Amino acid sequence: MVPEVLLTLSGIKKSFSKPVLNSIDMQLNKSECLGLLGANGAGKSTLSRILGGSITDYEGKITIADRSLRAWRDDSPVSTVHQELSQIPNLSIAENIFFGRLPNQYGVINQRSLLESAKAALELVGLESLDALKRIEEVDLATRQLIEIARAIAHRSELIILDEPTSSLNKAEVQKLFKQIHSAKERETSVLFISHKLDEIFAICDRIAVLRDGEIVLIQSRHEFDEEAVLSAMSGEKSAEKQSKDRQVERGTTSFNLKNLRTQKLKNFHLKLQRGEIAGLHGLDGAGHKEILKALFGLSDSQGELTLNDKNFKSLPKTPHAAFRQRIGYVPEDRQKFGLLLGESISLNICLNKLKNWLGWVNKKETAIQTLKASRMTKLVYEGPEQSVSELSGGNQQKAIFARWLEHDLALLLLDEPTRGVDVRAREELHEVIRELAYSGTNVIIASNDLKELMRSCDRIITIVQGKTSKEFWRESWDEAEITAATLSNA
Amino acid sequence: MPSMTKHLSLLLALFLLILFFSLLNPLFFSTPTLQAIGNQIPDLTFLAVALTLVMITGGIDLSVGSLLALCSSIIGVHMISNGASLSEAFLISLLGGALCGLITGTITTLGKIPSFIVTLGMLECARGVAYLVTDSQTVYIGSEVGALAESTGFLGVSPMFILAIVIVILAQLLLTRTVYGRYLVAIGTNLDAVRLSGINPTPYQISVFMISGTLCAFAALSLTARLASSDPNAAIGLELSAIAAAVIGGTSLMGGRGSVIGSFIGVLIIAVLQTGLASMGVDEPTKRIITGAVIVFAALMDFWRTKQRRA
Repeated sequence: MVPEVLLTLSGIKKSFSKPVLNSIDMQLNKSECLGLLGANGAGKSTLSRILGGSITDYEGKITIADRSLRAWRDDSPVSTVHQELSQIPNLSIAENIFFGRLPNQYGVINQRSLLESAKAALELVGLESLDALKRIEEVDLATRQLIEIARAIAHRSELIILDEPTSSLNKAEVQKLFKQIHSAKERETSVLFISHKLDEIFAICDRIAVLRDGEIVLIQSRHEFDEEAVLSAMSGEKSAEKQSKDRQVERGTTSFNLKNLRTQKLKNFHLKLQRGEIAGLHGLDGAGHKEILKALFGLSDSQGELTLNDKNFKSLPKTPHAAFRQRIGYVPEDRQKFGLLLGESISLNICLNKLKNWLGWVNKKETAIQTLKASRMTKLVYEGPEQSVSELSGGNQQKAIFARWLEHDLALLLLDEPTRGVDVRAREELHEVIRELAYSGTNVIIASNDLKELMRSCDRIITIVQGKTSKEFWRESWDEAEITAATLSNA
Repeated sequence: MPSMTKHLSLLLALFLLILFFSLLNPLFFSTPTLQAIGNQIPDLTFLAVALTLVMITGGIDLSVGSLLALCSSIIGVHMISNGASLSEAFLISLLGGALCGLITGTITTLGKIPSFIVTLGMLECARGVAYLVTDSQTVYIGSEVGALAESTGFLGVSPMFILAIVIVILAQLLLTRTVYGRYLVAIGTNLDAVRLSGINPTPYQISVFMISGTLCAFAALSLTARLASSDPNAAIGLELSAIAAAVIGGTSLMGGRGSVIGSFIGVLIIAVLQTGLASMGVDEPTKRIITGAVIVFAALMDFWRTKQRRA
C-alpha cells in the first residue's frame, strides 16, 4: 500500500536577522510519526512555529490535505503541544480543552455540553478518571501534556506537533505518552515529534529527519536508524562521543557532610561526599531528591547539620543569600522562571552575583571581561556582552546561568535538571564544565529524573524513595535496571 | 542602543507637540511661555523620578502626592511656628519623607503585601498627618522660600528647575551605572532569579521607597516655593500625573523596564500639552479628556514598539 501524503513542504525559507531555514523540502504521510532532530538553533522551533501557524511570513509552499496551509487560517488542522505549555492556569481543564471554541449560546457557556465533550476527549487519552472541572494548575505536568493532546484531538487535528514533549516527564509518563501517539496514529493522525532524546525518537518514530543550519541533512526510515550517523549529521562532524575524563575521587577525604536533614518531606537524610565527587540524586517525581537541593540552598524550612570543607555550620542556611555566603551555588530547574533576567543583557545575567558593592559604579570593562571569561569556560556562543539573553538558544541560556556561578570558588554547587531541553552538544559542554568544577574541588550534587544524564556525569548515584535514601551505586558497578528498580522499592 | 532610539522618538513627539501649538498660536513658542513651563515642572519631575525608580522594581508608590503635602506642611510649620531656617526645615522634611518611605517599604517587602495597597494606606495617613500639623490651614511663608521658584539670571530658570535637572541626571546615572541601579532593574525583571543567584533583594526593595520619600521632600520644597506657602491640600492626585509621565516615558508597570530620562520627557510632554491647550483657550474638561487619551496612546505605542523589538 502506498502511504497517503498528508503534508508537503516545498522550498520553505525563513530569515530573521540571518537565514534560519534554507529551502526545506519534506513530506509527511498520514498516520506517520516523524521525528525531527537537530542541535539548538538548527531551525526546529522555527519550522514548528511555521507549521503551527504562528509564523506566516515565510517563503515557499506548504500543503496539508491538498490545501495550502495559508488557506486554512483559523481552522488549521495542525495542533502544537509546546515545550512550555500554553495553558491558562486559572481555567478548568474542560475550558482549556475547548478554549477558543467554547460551546455557547449568546455568549453564555453551555456547561453540560462543555463537560460532556471534555470527558469524551479526556477518555481518548486515558484520563477518564480526571475531574474536568478541576483548575488546570492543580494538575501535574505530565497530565497537562496529555490534556493538550486531548485538546488537539477534540479539535480534530490531522497533524499534532509535539515539541520536546518528554522533557518534564518520568519514564512511566513517557510510556503513557507513547501509547497516545500510537492511538493517534490509529486514528490516521500524523505526529511530528521534536526532541533531543535519540532513544525516544528511535523508539516511537517511523522516520526521522535531521535538521542542521536550516537544512534537512539526513532522512532515515525505521529500518535504517543509526545513532552514529544521526549524531554526526547533527553536529556536522565525525561523532566524537567524549569519554568521561578519568575521574579522580579521593576516597576517604570527606569534604561535605550533611547530617540529619529534616524538612516536611525528608526524615533524617544523611549524605557524605568525597573531595571532588559528583553525586547524583535520582528518584521519581516527589520522592524528595529535589527537596534536598532546596534545603541546602535555604529555600525551605529545614533542620540539619552541615560540614563543608572542614567548616562546620551548626544549621543549614535560612536564605539563598546566606547559602551564597557559605559559598553554595544553585542552578534551578526552570531557567526561564527562576534563573534568567529575560530581556536584560548577557553581561548582567552572568555578572548578577559578581557585581560587588552596594552603591558602587558598575565597571563596564570589568563586567565585559568577566562575561568573556565565564563564556569561554562554558563555550557560550554570543554576539556581545550587551546582547539580550532572550535571543540565546536554550542551551546557551543554560550556559549563562552556569556562568553566573563560575569564578566564585564555590564549595558546593547544586544542580537541578542541569541539561533539560538542551541539545546534545551543549549538554556535553555543560558536563565538561561540571567535571572541571569538581576537579578544582567544588562538591557537585545533581538532582535529576533523567537517569541517563546522571549516569553520564556522576561518580555515584543515590536513589531516593519517600524522602529517604534507598540505595547507592558507584560508577564501576552500577546497572541501569537496578538503579531504576531502586527508585521504586521501599528500602 | 535601543534605549537611545527610544529617547529620540520621545523627543520627536515632544518636538512635534511644540511645533503643533506654535503653529496654532504664534505666541506659544516664546521665552515667557517656555520659562513658565520650565518653572512649573520641578515638583512633577521629582515625583516622576520617584515613581520611575519604584516602578522599575515592579512596585508602585501612590503616596507621593500626600507625602509632598506632608513634607510641605513640615517645612511651613517648622519655619513659621518654630522659627526654624529654611535649610533646617527642609532637612526635617527630608527625614520625614525618608521615614515614611522606610515604613511603606518595610511593610510591603517584609509583609509581602502589594505596594499598591500599602502606599494607598500611606496616601491616606500622610494626608491626615499633614492636616494635623497644619490644623488644616494654609501656612504662608513668604519670600524666603519663594525665591527658589523665581527666575534667576541664568537662562531665566529657577533654582528648583536646575535642582530638578541635576536630580534627573543623578537618578539616571544611579539606574544605569551603579550596582544598586542594576539590581533595581534585575529585581523588577525577575525577583526569583535575583534571590536564587544568592543576592538578598530586601534592602534594595525597602530603600527604593526611602528614595521615593526623599524625592517627595524635594518636590515639596519646589511646590512650597512656588506657592510661597504650605498647603495641606496641595498635590491631590499628583501621583497619577507622575505615573502618567513615567508611562509616557516608557516605564513599564510590570517592572524591569524604564528610564529616568524618558520619564522626564514624559513630564515635559504633559506640561507642554497642558500649557498648549490652555493657550488655545481649551476648557478644563476637554483638557482632561485629551490628556487622558494621550496617556493611553503613549502606552499603546510603547507596547507596539516592544512587541516589534521582540519579534
